[in-house]
Amino acid sequence: MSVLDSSGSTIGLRTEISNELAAVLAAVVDASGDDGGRYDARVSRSLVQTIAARSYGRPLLELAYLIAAADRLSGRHGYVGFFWNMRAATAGAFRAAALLAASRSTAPREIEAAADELVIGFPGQAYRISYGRMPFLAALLDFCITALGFAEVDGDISVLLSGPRDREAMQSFANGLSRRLYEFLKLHLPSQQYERKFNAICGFISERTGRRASADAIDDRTVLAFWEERCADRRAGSDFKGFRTVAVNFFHLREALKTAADRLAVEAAAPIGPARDAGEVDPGEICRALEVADSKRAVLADLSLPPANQLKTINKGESARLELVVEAGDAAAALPLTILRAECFGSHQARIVQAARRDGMAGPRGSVAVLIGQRPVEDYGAATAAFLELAGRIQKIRLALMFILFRNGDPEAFEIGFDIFPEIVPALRGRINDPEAEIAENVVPLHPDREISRLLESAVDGDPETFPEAALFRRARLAFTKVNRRGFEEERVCNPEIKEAARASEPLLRLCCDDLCAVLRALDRHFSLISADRVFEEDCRRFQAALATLYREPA
Amino acid sequence: MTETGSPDADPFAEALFVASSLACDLRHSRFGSAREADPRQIAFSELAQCLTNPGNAAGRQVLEVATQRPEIGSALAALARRFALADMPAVAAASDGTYPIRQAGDFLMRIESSLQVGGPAYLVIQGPAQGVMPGLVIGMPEAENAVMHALPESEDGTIQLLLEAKSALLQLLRDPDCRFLLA
Repeated sequence: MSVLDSSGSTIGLRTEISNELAAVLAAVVDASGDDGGRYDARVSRSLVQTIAARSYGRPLLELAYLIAAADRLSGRHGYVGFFWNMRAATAGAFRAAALLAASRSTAPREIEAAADELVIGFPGQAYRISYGRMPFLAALLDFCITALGFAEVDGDISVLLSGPRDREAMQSFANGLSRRLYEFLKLHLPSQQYERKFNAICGFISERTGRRASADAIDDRTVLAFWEERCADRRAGSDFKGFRTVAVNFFHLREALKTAADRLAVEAAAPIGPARDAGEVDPGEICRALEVADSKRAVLADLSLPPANQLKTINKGESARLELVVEAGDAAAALPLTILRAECFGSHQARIVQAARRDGMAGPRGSVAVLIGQRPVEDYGAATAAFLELAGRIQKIRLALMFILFRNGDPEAFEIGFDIFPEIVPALRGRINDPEAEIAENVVPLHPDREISRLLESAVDGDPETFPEAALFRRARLAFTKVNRRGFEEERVCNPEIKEAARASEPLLRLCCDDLCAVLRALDRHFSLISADRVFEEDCRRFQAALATLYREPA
Repeated sequence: MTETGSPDADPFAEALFVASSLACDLRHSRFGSAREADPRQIAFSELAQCLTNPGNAAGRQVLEVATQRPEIGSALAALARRFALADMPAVAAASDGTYPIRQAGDFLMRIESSLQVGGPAYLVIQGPAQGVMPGLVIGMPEAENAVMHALPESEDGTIQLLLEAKSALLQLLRDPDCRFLLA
């Protein structure tokens, strides 16, 4: 058994996916487009979720229809021209391509390019694909071809296009490509390791509580106790060596158990009751559930992709500090100590692993032993202070985003202001000519949009001492001038891509901030009962014992 | 020590846990070692884009990778057939080894030697004065990997490209068994 917890990611998490799959996915997600990536953050996220949940069955059927329709529409260059004759794969680009192709097409009128969707009238029921869905389908096809090879996939497509274009043919193509993808992912995306982890953790919880594993049974003590038990058991394999990895496993497990319990509660309340067979899980349903949880977790990835990546809102160090908090999501408030332990002792453990790698297991173990005897570089007080400081910095970046939105006359600017300075709401509400207040006075505002525009103008041009919106703008401008990061340049403030980036970044930063604040509140509650120093002292003792057991010389 | 899981575990929870964990791995792999592990991996969409603009930075990078990785080169060549403005098949009868002219449709491709003996040569491509000119020439020998070269822009229907005497493309142009695509 390897004593080292090999790490496949920058945040020190152990990953089991192959380098080949990782490289293919990175190539597709990072494919270049107009002044940025070819696919936006939402499309990239959906692609990752679809692969992870292996829920590509229905999307591949949609893809079959779209390929067949594109081939009919696009004339000489066929489906290839339709999918790849544009740099950025956006709904607007596909809409324009479809409308243009349909206007030129001499093919039988079985495909209609409507305003929002393509209506495909092949034999059988008409099939509709919205333009908004097409970027994702294009990314999926890009992934399939990049992973499986152009010759193979194009061969299947040629067969599809040469036969009758009915439902059966479309399903047959989708099934064939699904099988190819399944075989590829079987080699490169092993799920057995996580099934094993699920059983091991649930088994531990059941044994500890005497009940079926549930989200409520997962707390900070359970996570640490589980890891300690695994460290003590040398037969346990390499699944649970890194505390940081174990913490993330528990975050995901808690979320999964909670979602499953909520779902069962809804089913129990339904008049007909559960319809599915026990043990059979619909991948589409998993993907939908994953979308809810994963969208929050993917905020850092989303910030690094178009359109948000035009602004450097989060730097590398801040991103590393946020990783676990964001990954914890809703669990952040329930497992604050686990986050802190993973931050402090996770980094400490990473140094031990590095030393063990450097020295080799058969070589001198001095540095490893010395490190095990040492304390982490950062204690709980320092880590908590770093979280607090980061929360403040993110708020300042959000203020700078508010400045960009004000300068672009975007009402979203007020949303940021309301969130950061709730005390300003009553004064601004009065200025906005609140419809409810007007109705109470039997006066209906005729042009609320005009009122907002007036306020936006007043924010930029008005007297900060007189008008609350102008005071808000002044604070935003001050914050903006202090941000020295890419994209936050005065001369670029009114560029459309900067405005778009600000609009996209704001909700993501708000999520980061909410998660951080949830952790900080929970830590505050905890440390008001037992001081951070005392908890740290006790944890130093426990981690030292566990790490010594984990990295001791093999007998 | 518990090795087996709870038998009554919810299969939905298990499937969601697995999917969440894999999504986390996939997401972090993008920021992690994926690029270092295989920096030459190219998305298919980049290949397609290379055909529309082989001369820009992204296009040049794809062409460079295509010379190092035969599977990418052959995928690019296969794709180029779809977009080809001219497909110039292998020449039936071999000449003296310096076959100078190939023609397909509106396009003519010829080699013009420079004054220096054994020195560089010019590849001249002529097309319709008003029509679309190619951005890429691809030589596809029978048994070896394809050789690709981005072409400069042209406004009058003529493109001139100076090729070193040892240029792989020049060697292929003199090989009657080599097929050429202009895309």
